[in-house]
Amino acid sequence: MWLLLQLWPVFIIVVTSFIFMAAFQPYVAWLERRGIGRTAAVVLMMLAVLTVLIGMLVLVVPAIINEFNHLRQDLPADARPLDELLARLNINANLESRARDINWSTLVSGRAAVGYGEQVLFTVVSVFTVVVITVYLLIDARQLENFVFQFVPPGREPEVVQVLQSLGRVVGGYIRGQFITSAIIGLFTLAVCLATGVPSPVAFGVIAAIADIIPIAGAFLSIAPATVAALRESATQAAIVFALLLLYKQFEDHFLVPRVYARTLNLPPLIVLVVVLAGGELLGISGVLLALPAAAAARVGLDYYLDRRRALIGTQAEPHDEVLAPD
Amino acid sequence: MPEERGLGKCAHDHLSSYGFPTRPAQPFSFCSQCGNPMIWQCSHCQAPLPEDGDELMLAKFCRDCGKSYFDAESEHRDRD
Repeated sequence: MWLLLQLWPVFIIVVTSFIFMAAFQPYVAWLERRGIGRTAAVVLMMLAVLTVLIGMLVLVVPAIINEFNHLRQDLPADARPLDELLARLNINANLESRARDINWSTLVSGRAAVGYGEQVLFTVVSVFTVVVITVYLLIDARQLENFVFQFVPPGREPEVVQVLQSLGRVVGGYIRGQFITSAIIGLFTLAVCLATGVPSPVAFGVIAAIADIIPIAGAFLSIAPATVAALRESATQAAIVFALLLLYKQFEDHFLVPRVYARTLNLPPLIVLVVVLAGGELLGISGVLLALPAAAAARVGLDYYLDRRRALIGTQAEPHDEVLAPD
Repeated sequence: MPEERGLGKCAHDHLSSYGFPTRPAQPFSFCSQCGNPMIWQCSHCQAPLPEDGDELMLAKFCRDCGKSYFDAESEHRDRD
């Protein structure tokens, strides 16, 4: 237990790599079936993923800096209508003068800046480590399978194969489904921003796609940035952007997600909330992101346990729900 | 085309498999623990054996044709 606590960051990195391995394995197999060697297929796959990730960063970072600069300049002017509204309610908040008095250069202390720098460096190193371990896992998938089967007693092989396949299908299906829904919301946000004249439309599309990964709070985080940017243009524009993105989220939640994931997780919303909160409490943002794939894996374990129990008491097992996210 | 693999047993209920990682690629004839002949399907009707290890360990008779998997046991079976 002490060792696990000490090695917790390493454990998380390895678990994350296994999750990505499950997600990319079908695409590597697809490339292999087309005559590309396994190592080359894995390298091609990871190059494609890294290109997308770096492309996203290149688009988003300048837009965020730009928005921050706009915020600095326009905050006093933006606070004025709010001051007027509050004055009508006999509240004298003086938001405009307070906004003017903000000393932006001292807002972030030197120590905090070093702290943020360390966090950024840690994140970059962690991402790089996950990529490297995922590459190794994908290349050595067969050796890994052989290693696992050395410990499987005779007669248990079909069960182990079934559990491993279910884990790959459910966890990988969740990640692939997330890529699909993120891509669609990103494209939709891009289209809405282009149509309504919101500045930096590509960046807001990418931000919405990234925010969509975050369970629960992602709904707000994918809508808010584009709406706030539209508010700078006009209130009507902001209302249109907000309404369209909100409508899309309803479409995603009630139409798209059930079809893409089928009932991959099949967990009640309360359990999803608890799992996400627990993940956030334990591991912060990475815990929030890992919570649902972990819950999906736990569900495979639970299904296996229930199947064994049913087999022992001699009742018929219910057929399991299949994942519809494409392999 | 799915890979061919399966479970088998000998008359002493030793289980084996083929086609899985680290296991032989093809079904083999004799048990590596006791040397008795292995069966990979019902020798009377060719129905597959149970795929669950626990069930296969206990199974003595084919659930499709009702005959014993191993002839010696068939002779001792009390049909009443």
